[in-house]
Amino acid sequence: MNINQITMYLHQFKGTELRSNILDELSKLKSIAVNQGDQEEAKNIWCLEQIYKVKNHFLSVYKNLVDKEFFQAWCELERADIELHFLRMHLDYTGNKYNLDHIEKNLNQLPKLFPYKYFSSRESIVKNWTCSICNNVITLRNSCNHEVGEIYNGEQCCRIAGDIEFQAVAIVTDPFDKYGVLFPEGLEYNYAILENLMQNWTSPWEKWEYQISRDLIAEYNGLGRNNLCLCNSGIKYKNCCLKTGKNLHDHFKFLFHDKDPKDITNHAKQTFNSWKN
Amino acid sequence: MIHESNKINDLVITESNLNFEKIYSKEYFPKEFEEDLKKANFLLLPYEGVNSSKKPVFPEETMKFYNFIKQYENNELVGEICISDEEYAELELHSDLINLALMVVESAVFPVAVGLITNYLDRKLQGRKTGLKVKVNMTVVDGEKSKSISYEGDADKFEETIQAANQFK
Repeated sequence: MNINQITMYLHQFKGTELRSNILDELSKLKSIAVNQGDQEEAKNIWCLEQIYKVKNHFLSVYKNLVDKEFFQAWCELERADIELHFLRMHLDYTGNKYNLDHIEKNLNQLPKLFPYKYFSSRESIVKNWTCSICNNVITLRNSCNHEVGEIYNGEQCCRIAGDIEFQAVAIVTDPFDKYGVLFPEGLEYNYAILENLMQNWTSPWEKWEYQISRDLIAEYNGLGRNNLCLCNSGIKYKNCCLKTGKNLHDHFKFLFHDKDPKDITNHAKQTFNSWKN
Repeated sequence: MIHESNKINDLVITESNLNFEKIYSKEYFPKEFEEDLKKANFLLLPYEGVNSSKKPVFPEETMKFYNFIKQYENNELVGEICISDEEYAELELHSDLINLALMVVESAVFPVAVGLITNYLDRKLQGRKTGLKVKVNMTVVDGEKSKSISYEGDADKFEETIQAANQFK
């Protein structure tokens, strides 16, 4: 395939498995462009490589969700998000070019449906960096001319950290990288929301979205404002959970606008916790 | 060092006794760059005592922030970092929160410094699809007096919050 064919293939692709040889073909084409000194073409090919990676990871997310391999799906989501982040500063994909708007929307929506709340976060001291393009050691006052994030010879510049001194592990709720999900012994995550989604999400390219409303927890239904609160605080409902909002829970509603209503599996309202047990 | 934040635009201003002279006598002050550092009216300082080795460390990406300062086009602001190349180390906390290095700034260039930080944060926000939390700690020195400013919250509310405080004009 030449570059135009690969571009068209990636733009139009709406299957479930990408051709596995595309990255190899792009790599060869990139070598030619670099040898010819065509930096613009090399950068264009790098963008196509990124598009391939984003799509491939996204397809893996979907496949893992179908297979109920939820943690693997989570890791693929993170990887797709990272690759898309690298690409975003170099490619304008407005108008859903390469279906990247669709993927981006999914990358935004899906993490909120996972039950993961706590993550381990490494704390370390880094004392040494080298440039991924020229391999020069980078110091505060002596840097190479390569800018982090820019593309040189069809490769993105980054800093390679060395001399890393491990310090500690912290438990956090909003880590920079999301791989460090905690799996506490004796507890099992509840993926019921994702399982419900997958009953209706029948193709990775099918559009869906969700709405979240804050609904009253069933136990509080009919409780008078001046009654004692159900949470055993000993104070009136109006001064307790009614005030703090602890009487409410998130209610997810999945919407499939392009689906024939008779093909949708409807559910009665179900409530779930983050844990099965 | 706390890893996370749920603050929106928390600003705390307190009296301080830090000044440039005290920084020049710090153990980590790099004598080989003394001349340059003494010309600076905006200094980046390391955090001390936040890790087990007790060596001064800078928050991650401080090198990037330092390069941004050096390339910032402004005739009034002279920025420097208070550490030698050999002693420079970053503490990576891996939380989705930006901790900027401690900063000491002369009051005369404080508005320029706020503009610089705002520009830097704007850049960080570009390419992100979600908001960004930030912690900014700076000491503003006005002659013998100084005030410490701690901002914690949304990156895009930093400038308006500082300006609303209206204490350094």
